Amino acid sequence: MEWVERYLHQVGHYLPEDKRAEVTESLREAIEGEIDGLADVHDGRVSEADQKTVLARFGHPLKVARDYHPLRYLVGPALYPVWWQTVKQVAVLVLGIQVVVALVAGAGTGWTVGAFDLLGLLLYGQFWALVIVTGVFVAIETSGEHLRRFERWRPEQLPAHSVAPIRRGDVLTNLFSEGVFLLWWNDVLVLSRWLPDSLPAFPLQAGPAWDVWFWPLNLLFGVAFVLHLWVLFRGVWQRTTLWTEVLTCGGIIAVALVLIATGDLVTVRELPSEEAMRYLGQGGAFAERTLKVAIAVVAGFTAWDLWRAVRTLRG
Amino acid sequence: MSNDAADKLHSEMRRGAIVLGVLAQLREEHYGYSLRKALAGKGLEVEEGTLYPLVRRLEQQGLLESEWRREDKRKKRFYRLSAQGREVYQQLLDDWRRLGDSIAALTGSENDGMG
Repeated sequence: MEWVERYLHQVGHYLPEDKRAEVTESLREAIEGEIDGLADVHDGRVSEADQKTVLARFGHPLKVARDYHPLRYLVGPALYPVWWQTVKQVAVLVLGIQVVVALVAGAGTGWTVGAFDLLGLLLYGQFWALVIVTGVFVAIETSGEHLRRFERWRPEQLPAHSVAPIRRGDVLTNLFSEGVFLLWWNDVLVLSRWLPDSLPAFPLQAGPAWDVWFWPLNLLFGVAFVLHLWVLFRGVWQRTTLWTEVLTCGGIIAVALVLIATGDLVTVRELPSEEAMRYLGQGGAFAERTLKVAIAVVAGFTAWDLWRAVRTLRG
Repeated sequence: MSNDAADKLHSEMRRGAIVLGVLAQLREEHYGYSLRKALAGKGLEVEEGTLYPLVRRLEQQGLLESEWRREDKRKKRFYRLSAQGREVYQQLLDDWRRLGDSIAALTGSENDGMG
């Protein structure tokens, strides 16, 4: 029966070699039994149509091979939620480590990076984190072992004094902004890296008003960064983390207001011609006003975070 | 409820019933086709793509025994319950009856056809 043989060859193709002969023999017996049953109805005659009818009822060869072979998952349904949660937590951890390492490398060796290169490095780290975590969970699934963390869980493990679940998007946005700021503020991230070297040096630069704020801003944004890493890891706001959020937001808003009230945020480099200096002076004043507007916008967003933190604390 | 959701629930419900039905029928010896016909004759229609892999799985679990015999000029594989299969069948039958009683109590209906 040619159709049966073709079908069995195809099913065998989808089976591992050590199971092929045995399964094919069983399947042949089953199919021939069904065909004989149809033949009984047609006075003992087996037509091509009968063969095809029976094979259609058995279904696609891959489906049959799957049904004769034990179900296997890369990461099965029991492990999947744990795998996904671990991927998210490791992603947060790796991001934090990458920012800290970049800051240390920048401070220690003067290493710098452009915006696109930074993005590439971050994605590279996240990719390998995903590969390693997935590999570990595939090994657990294949070994047949099961994580016992669900059976070991006790209510005492719930975060103490938790007030509300986090809004993941908001925390990620804050984390991204704080990370980028810290890297830029400490001269690790060089945003002008994409500009051609042939261009002359930018005539505007940060004024002396910033000098006194170098370490306070590092402290405020550093604490905010670590705080947001922690709450992203935990998944909930607790009273202590909310109060820390209130204090850091308050600190950032206070610094922003002081900066807006201050002059000399932007200064002009010495240029050869008097006319160029006059135009640059106007440009510098414009740049300073624009910078103050940008600082006010940052203060506005931070005030929004502060208000939400206070509202969450008050319930 | 959508048809897909209802079909899924229906399949889940049938899966356990089919296992018990197959074990019950294999208290007598059958080969594949005769087993499917016997089940269909008692109201339990099972597709070929479901029945044959199930029988193989039950044999691998030690609940069935099989032997090849030549009958009507063709080699056929005959299945029947093993000793372990008989024990497991009895346990499953007892569970099924208890479940049936619970469902009857929950739905307020008589336990028709479940005992």
